[in-house]
Amino acid sequence: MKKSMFIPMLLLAGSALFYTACKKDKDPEPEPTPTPVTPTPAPTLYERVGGTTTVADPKNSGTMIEKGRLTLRSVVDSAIYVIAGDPVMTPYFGTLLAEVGANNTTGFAALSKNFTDFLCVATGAKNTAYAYMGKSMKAAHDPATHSRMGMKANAADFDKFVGDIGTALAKNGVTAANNKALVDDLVALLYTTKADVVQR
Amino acid sequence: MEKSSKTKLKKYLLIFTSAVVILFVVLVVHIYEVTKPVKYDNSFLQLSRIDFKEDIDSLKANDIRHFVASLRGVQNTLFNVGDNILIYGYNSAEQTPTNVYEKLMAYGHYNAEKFIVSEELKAQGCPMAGKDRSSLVYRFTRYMYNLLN
Repeated sequence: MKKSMFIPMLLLAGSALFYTACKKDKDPEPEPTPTPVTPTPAPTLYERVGGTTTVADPKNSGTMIEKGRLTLRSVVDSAIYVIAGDPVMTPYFGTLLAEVGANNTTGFAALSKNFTDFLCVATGAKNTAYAYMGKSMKAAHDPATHSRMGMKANAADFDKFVGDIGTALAKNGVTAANNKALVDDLVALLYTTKADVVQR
Repeated sequence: MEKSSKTKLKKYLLIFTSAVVILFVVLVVHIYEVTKPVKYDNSFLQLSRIDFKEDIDSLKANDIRHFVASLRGVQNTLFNVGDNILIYGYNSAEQTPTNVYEKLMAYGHYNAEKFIVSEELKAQGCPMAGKDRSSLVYRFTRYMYNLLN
């Protein structure tokens, strides 16, 4: 190589080296637009107590029942015993203890079905067989619109009723100590009816 | 003119009567659908109550519960210790509260009474546990139900 070309070549090589060394990284790829994530809805209370998985019904051999309904029915049936043995509740639930003739529906059977239906719907069950067909809470607890309510309920008696449900929950293994969230949610659900039920 | 007025009147009467008949039929069908026999899970389970006039402690309460639970047809028992009240559920096709009471008294000679529900108490209380038998709607429904079944 001629001497006169050496320095320009060296400079060219140096520039090339400099260029490649300082060459910026490729423009970073644009961040992908985040795909909106639909949050998974929180499970309903009905799903939390068993949901729609079906199991054999221990009270009706040969038939199946949704686990959610089975759980709620167990609590309701336990609660009925507690309520029947609570003298404060007697004026409101005396019919539970009235004996009926053969083939008549007992007070226990009627209350068990109706209250279970009510709780199934209120906790989020979708099965149309569980539809609650009774009066609204307000109409059902007003003696003017429902003569069975011999007297209006007061707040203390309503609280006692909810307390009896709590006792029934404990009899079914659910307490504030081992499942506070579930107990709190069930109690809160019952208290949503207080304004309609308490009319004295 | 008069003839056409009469014809119009007849026509309107016919439409009105037809509408009433159709609505009545719809009502009857609806009553049948909502009053046809409902399946109850505990249809034969009856509750009964015995009130003790003496203080029953938890030990005695357990003894009473176990004895009553051993009787034929009795399914569940609960003793409210604070108020000295026994509640038990029994299959009404297999057992009677009078029998349970007599057997329990023979067993423990307790100072106790069967709780009898008064007619007044039977007629009132939680609507989910019974029917409002005095309403016109109930009575009409009952009449149609008996007619159709």
